Amino acid sequence: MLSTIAVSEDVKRELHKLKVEEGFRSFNELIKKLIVEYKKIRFMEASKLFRERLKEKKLRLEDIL
Amino acid sequence: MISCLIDTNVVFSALYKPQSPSGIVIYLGIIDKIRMYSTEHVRDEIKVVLVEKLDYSNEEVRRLLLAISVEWIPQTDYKDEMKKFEKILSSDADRSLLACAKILGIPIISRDKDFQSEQVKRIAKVFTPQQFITFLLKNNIITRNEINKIIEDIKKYELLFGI
Repeated sequence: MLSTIAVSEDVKRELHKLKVEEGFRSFNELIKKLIVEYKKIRFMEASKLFRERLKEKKLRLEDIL
Repeated sequence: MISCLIDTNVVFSALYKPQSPSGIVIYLGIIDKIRMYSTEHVRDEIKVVLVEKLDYSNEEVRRLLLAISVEWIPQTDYKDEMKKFEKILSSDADRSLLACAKILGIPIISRDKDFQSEQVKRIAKVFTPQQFITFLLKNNIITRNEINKIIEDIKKYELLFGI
């Protein structure tokens, strides 16, 4: 089931542009892809910080398991 | 969609090395191929390590917990069941996972040797991350090609983030 969300004209234009450029069949498909890509980036950022902190503390993974 | 319970060691291994089997499991959750759950006890165990050993701020902890795309099961849902396993497992977090595995009928993903005992295996299915990936492949839930694509994707992001 589909529902409606409110976005500004600018965002709507950008979404439409992306949809055409990337060949998505619907906004739903495009937004789903954007969410997954955002989650991947969030995970990689967390991974980077985690590794940096281990290094700073001179700890190995085994030390915290 | 297949569901599973994630242990602390899988989360930390995934963050340490996203290309590892643990990393691939978490990634499968992020891209909605599997549904990942864990317990409030595991969440608290993760928090303690991050704050006490790695000096994470509350905001950094919050961001990390969001980043792993795990749904946290509240204590009220499993606390009574957990008490039954006091003689089998010593850690609260491990017992909480076993209780949820029994209640929900879903497997635990863990690298912890405590979960490999016959007593535990009689109560719940336990996979290591590598065994879980093999199980997904054997049951055609994912294909070898998809796994290879995931590894390539992770490599691309690692390069981008300088990991």
